[in-house]
Amino acid sequence: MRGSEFLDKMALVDPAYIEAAEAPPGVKKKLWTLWRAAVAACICLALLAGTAAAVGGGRTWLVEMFVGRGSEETGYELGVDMDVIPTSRMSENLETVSKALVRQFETTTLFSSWMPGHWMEKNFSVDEAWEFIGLESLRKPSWDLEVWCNTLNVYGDSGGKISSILIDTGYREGDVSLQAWAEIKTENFAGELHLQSVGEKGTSFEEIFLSTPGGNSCQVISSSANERGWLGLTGYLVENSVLYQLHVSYQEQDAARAEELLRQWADQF
Amino acid sequence: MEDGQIVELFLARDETAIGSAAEKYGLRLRALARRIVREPRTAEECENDAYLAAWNAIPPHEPRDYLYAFLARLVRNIALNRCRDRERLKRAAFVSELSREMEECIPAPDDLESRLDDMALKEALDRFLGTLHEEKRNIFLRRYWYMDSVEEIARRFGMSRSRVKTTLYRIRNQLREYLKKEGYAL
Repeated sequence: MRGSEFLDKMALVDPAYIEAAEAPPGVKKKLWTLWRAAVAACICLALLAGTAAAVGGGRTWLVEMFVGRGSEETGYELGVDMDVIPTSRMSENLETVSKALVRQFETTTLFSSWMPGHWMEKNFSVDEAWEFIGLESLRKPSWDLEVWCNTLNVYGDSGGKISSILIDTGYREGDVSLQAWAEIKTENFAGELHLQSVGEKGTSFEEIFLSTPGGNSCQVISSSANERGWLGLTGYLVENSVLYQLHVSYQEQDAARAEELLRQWADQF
Repeated sequence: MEDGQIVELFLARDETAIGSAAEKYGLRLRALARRIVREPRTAEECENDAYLAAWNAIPPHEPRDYLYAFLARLVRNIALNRCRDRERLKRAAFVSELSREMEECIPAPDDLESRLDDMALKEALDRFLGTLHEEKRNIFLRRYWYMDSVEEIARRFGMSRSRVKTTLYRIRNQLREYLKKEGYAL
């Protein structure tokens, strides 16, 4: 038997053990989390220039970066600390969405090609999407870039409880493509949030930090060119418990403009 | 809804069984699949396939007391098979890494004639896991059943990465010695 087969055979383990391993570890984890929160507050002050310090209400940090570990897979993983935002702070429009989510679960069938729990609206403009959510602290990008797509996504369960909201906006400027996300987790969200990006064979990543005139710091992961010559810059910021991301795709000749656009975006926070 | 009630829906061939299972366990199942296949869309497909597999497996199975583990096992198998699909080879590195670690648990070279059948291997694994302290057992299963990364396990149990790696290394050695001592050859 080889290791891969043995890995498959692990599925034979007693289900009681499997269920027990899924349960949260308990007090020790909680204490660790409290300790980490306290220490993180001190570390953030000490390392403000070099870390992805939160602009109020959370932060992102690099968990792991894997670059060609004897294999073709490259990528990185970020941890995200952000507080939840109660749905009560948002617009009553979300009640309509809750009802739509309930209907989704009621009408889904065994062989549906879609899974219930995801409500989407693609016809909102950026202004309309922001107004629909109605969260005062949600920052709307103030750019003059051409918007080529804007999607409002709401995720929830069969009881209509909304767990997360994601606004996905695509921009274009010449040959530079940008995609921006604003993500909210509500009181109904369970678990931890991680971000992961996997690159093509040979892609390498670097972590850099931008300091803005406003004294904020943005974590940026740059990716090397893929086979078609596209490079990437992805910025991460948490402000008032909302996770903001911007991904910029560009060719080498547009590198300066791509960096400038990322800075403009970060400077808004 | 209790697991037993959901299983009753499956047994009654009531299609709301799928929705009920998805509502209760969908997030966790999807997270498990995503850890393996690394793509949200593929993870959703694995989750959907698992519900269909469960529909075909209940009956005769009646996992009233362990529905989550039953569904998770289906998702895990489906996701692992997806990972080994030719088109996903570039994402199979994670699975290869785990397979290499599992190789250390095998006490003897591959020997077709002395291969354990599934029942005997299950008994051996369960007995071995029963000898471990609960936390060590859970760490081992989080790595080799749930496919958690070392970093995820470290956060979950509030320990350093190096301690997780050391713990896993020791348990792998213990498993190999256990299987060897008990006369199992894989």
